Parts: sequence; C-alpha cells; structure tokens
Amino acid sequence: MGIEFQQFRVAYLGDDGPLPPALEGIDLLIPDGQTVLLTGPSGCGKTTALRSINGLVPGFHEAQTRGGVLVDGSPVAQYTTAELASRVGYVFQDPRSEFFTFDVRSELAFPCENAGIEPAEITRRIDETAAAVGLEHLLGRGLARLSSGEKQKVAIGAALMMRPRILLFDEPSANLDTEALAMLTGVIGSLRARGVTVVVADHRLGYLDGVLDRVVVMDHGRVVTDLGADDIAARDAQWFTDRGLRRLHPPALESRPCTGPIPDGGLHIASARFAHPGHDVLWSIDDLHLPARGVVGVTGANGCGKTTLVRFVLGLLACRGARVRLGGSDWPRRRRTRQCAYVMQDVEYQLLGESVRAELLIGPEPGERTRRRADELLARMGLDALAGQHPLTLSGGQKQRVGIALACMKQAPVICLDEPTSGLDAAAMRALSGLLRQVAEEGALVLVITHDTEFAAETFDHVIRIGDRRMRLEAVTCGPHGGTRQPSTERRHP
Amino acid sequence: MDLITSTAQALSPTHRDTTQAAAPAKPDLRAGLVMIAAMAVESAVVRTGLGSVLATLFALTLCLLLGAARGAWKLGAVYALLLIAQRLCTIGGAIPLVPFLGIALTLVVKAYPIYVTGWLVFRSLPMGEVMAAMQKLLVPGTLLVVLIVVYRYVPTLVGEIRVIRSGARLRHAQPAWRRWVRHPVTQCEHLVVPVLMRTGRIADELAAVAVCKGLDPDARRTALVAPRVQPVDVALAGACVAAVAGLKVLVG
Repeated sequence: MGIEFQQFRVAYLGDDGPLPPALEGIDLLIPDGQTVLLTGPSGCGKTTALRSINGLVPGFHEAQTRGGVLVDGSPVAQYTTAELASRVGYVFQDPRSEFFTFDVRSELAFPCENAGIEPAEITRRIDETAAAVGLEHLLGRGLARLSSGEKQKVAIGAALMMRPRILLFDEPSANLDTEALAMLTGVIGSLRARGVTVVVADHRLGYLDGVLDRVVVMDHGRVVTDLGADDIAARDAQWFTDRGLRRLHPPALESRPCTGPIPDGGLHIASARFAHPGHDVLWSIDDLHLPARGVVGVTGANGCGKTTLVRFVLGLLACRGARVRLGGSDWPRRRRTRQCAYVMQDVEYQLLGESVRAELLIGPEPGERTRRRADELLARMGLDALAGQHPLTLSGGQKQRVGIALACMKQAPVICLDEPTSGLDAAAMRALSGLLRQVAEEGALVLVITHDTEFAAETFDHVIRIGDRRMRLEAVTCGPHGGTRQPSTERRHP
Repeated sequence: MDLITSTAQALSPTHRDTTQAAAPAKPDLRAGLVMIAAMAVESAVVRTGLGSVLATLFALTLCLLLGAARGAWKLGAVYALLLIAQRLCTIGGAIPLVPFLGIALTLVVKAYPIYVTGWLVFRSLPMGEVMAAMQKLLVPGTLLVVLIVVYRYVPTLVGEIRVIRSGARLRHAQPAWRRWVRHPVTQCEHLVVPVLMRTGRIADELAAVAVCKGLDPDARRTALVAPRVQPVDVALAGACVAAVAGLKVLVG
C-alpha cells in the first residue's frame, strides 16, 4: 500500500493563472515501512511532493493537479481532514510558526484533543512521546522561550502523538545541533524499525546515513535519480557535488585552542555575563579577544546562548558591568547597535523596500556616494539583474544575498548572521561561503551562528565554542576540501 | 513505542517524573469573563476618579493573590505614571494639543481595571482550556476556530513587531526618535510593510498547521485538562461583582 504518486503534476495558482509546474508528472511508489529521503536543489519540488501526500496540495495551497496521489490505496482527496491527520504526521519547515498553542504540554495534546481521544490516554501518550523524543524536561515550559532546536523536538513530538503510519519531515535538520541531530536520527531509526513510513525532504543528508532505505533526487519537478541506500553509500563525494547535493559524509569542524595571541585591533569583550530573568547564568565571559577581520563561527548545543551572545555584541541586549572594546577604544552598547549589522535567519523581516535597489538605500545617509556604493555592491554580489525586482519575490538564497549587501552598505566592522544556511541547497551554501570570506577579507569581522558543519568547515577561520557556560575561541584546522588550512590571523602572528 | 522509548533513553540522560496533577488554570475562563464584564460595568457606572483608582487597586490585589506579583507591580507602576501624566494634562490644559492627550489618557485610565483583569484572566490560560471552556459555553465551531486563531495570533504579532523593530534599529544610521520625528510616514511604512507581510504568511501557516493537526470545526473535541468552575472561581467572580456594586454605592 504505502504512498503512490501516479503521473502527478502540480502547478500552483498565481494571481494570473497557473505558475510553471512544481511537479512535472512524477511516478513514485513508496512501500509501507520505507524510509525515503527526497532531496535536490532549492525549488526542485520536494516540499510540494510532501504537501501532496498530506493533502495540503491542492486542498490548502491552491493548485492545478493532474494524475493522483494514493495513501494506503485511496486517493488523498477522499480522506477527511481528521482521517488524514491521524494517518499522516507532518513536521513543518519552520518550527516557529507551526505551534498552535503556547506551552509544550498543550501542544502535544492538541492533535489528540481534536481527534476526541480521552484525557487519560492523551496523558499516557504525552509521557511516552516525551520520553521518545527526549523532551521530558520541556513539558512544563512555554513554547516562546524554547530555542529553535528545542522547538523542533516539540514539533516532532506533536507529529508523533497521533501514532501515524506515515510521517513527513520538511527540512527537519535546519536548526538542530549535533546532539539534536543524533536524536532525530535515533527517532527516524526507531520509527523505521517499527515499520512507520518516513519521508524526509532535506538538503542535508549526512545525519540520515544508516537509517535510509532509499534516496530520491529531484530536479525541476522530476525524479532524476532513485537509488537504494547501498548505492548511495558507494558514491564518492564528487558524485554529490556534481548533482548539486550536500555531502553524505560532511567534514567535521576540527579546531584547536588558539596558540599565539590574537592581534590587537579586534573586538575585546570583558566581564560579561548573561542570565534570562529568573534563571541561572547562561554564559559568562571574563576575557575574549576576537580578530579584527575573518569569519568566526559561534557553535554550541541548542539553547546554550549563541543568539544571546550575538544580540549582546549587536548591542540589542545589555549585560551589566560588561566592557566591549573595538580596536583599543571603548565601544558602548548604543554605538554597537548603530554600527554593527545583522542578517537575520529570516531575512524577510528586514526587507522593506519596493525594489532591491531601493532596499539598499534605506538606512544610510542619502546622497550620491551611497547610491554609487549601492550600485557597486549590486554588481559585485551578482544582484544587478535583480535590482528592479521586489525583494520579496526573490528566492531564499537571493534574499540572503540582499541581506548581506545591506550589511555591507553599512560598512559595519562586525556583521552577524544567524543560521544563514538553513534552507539553502549546496550551490547556494557554497556561494554564501565564498561571499562571507570575501566580506571578511575586506576588513570585517563576520560572526556566524551555525550548526552546519559542512558549511563551517569550508568557511570559518576561528570558532567560538560555547560549553559549560563558557566561551572559548579556537582556530579552525580543517580546510575547504578536508586539507589543512592556516587561519589567516596565525599567518600574520606565527 | 517501546523501541522509540528505549532509543530515547539511550540518548537522553535526563529523566524526570512528568506525572503532574492536571489542575485547571485559575480563574476559569467563564469566571474570568464575568470578572472582566464586572470591571467593564464599573468603568461605565462609577463616575468618580477615586472609584476608578479603588477598582484598579482591587484588580491588582487579585493579581497578587493569584501569584502574579511581578506583573502586578509592573501594571501598578504603569498605572501610577498614567495617573500622574493625566493630572499634568489637566493642569496644562491651556497648551495646544495637551487637552487631546489628556482625553486619551483619561480613557486609558478609566478602562485600566478592565486591562488588569483581562491580563489576569488570559495571562496563563492554556489554549486547550480556552477551547474547552468556550465549547461548554456553546460557542459554534466555526466561530470558535476563528476566535482561537485570533487568540493565538496576538502574542505572535507582538513578537513579530519586536523582531522587526530590532532589525530597524540595526539598519539605520540615525537613532529611532530622530527618524520618527523627521519622516514619520516613511517610518510607519517601514514598520507596517513587514508586519503585513509576516501577518499574511503566518495566517497561512497557522491555518495549514490547524488542518494538519486535524482541527475540525464540526468534530467533538476532548480536553487534556477539563476546565471546571470551582468554588474559587465563584468566589473571584462574586468578589468582583460585589466590589463594583460596593464602589457604586459608597464612592460612585
């Protein structure tokens, strides 16, 4: 039975008629109990394929369809909402907006309440699921205060509450740290052992090594490659690169404690400590020197305080008694906010203009020099062809480039990015890596929060590791292609 | 589920007993609505300033009693500032535009007991209980779903605005006050455009989530924690009604 796509074609409906098809008549049979990865470049149709399995396409997102999708032998369209909800679980791409309630326990209970399950049974399932996903310690907490990795765990838990026979994951790895990825792999592995059909759409594949039965590579709405797990394991790194895919065995981010002193002139943070109101100290810094230029990663487990550290550097968050110096002189909080730049994980929050060019002109003092600089940046970042377009019509990778161009407009000494690779395919990830290195060469300190080790190993000179409520700066020792690379600051100071 | 459980136990070192007594939040939504209605009546029928102040103090005391001390002190401090500002406006009535500000402040101050009570009722009411209580009040299914989406959306909107504002602060070379004084219309546009953008998207996503989680206006729902009207709810609602009546008679 399982899931069956029969010559399925989908074209979303735009304001003036159907858009180019997202799926071009795919045939795919996923038998019961198989664990399948759908992958491929951005826009290849993997999310659309997932949405067709649980009826969001065309039931919710308006689209023209041809052919059909069968779940357990019947067309998806014939199931009622409740029937589908109990058969097919769905973990959404964005853990921030997929919750319907405000606290973890209610969120887990919500789908069961909708199905009219008795409270005693719901309580039993909550305990079981919490143990399965490792969120017992989160049960009493509100959702707003959770880190993105913790939210992802809750989302997976909620999808498991109805005990579905089919579970769909849309980019589940986007915000997860190594430990949470291991949790995800463990959960998928045990679902597979229990015979649940699992379909994952993702760019990253490394974490699924060992639990997959099959990999389906899509491009432009078609299935281009359909391989068994053994076949995939036999391919070398080049095979993945040629198809625009992430690597199956991403390099680890290797680093060692910095040997020589960091040259003066960089960012210096002293005696800062941060605690959420009413909680213990989350992190503290006695003395941290960062280089004046270079790409520095910020890594650590989910919820360890990466985002708060960056918000502190940006001056959005005050730590009493903290001293921050840049290039030897004091750098107070308000001035930091005025001078630093930030590229949010969701760049959309920052896009206000009517066109890409207009976007770059919002913020800095208007004038001829600003306009010239904007044109120059557009050309350099390969955005000049898009200069007249509305920023919100761009693809994810393009929006992010606009975000980085905005940061460059400000000529900020420190540029911070939050999880910039979530949702980016291999090509966009490499382009971003190159762009950040280029921005750093021009004399900016680029701080990047990420869990993506493949991206980190290709991009960072240094890494701030947060663990045991402390921060350590370490020099990255692995290079872009697995070789060793001398970090730029160490070259200057052997 | 055994396999999952065992996998998870291998992975997660922390175990905690999660079996807690599922006590419904207090006050119950129905009692809470009576309390809010009582305060609304107060702001309409009690005419004196003293009466309004006493009603606010009463609502703040209820907050303290129900263990929301932090919020109570904050709300109280804001109230004091508003009162002072309102008095100052009365004194400076001759200055242009100040009377308008005074009128606006008076409206806020008059309705303050309603805000405090509303905050007290909704501050930690889990969604499941709100839905179950409304179902018991025989709110029709479709309306219930709409109300719930609105209820879910309000805090999200507040969060979104906060993110957008911090983005704007980092974006601009000038401090916010100068931007707002010089180009208020442009600034408004720069706040409203992304908010609308996000609103549209969140509304879509929320609705998709509701569909995926099987929220069906016509189906019978159960509640993990069944809301109950208990003596404490009756007492709270009764106290509010009595206080309003008392204020009307004594100082109204």
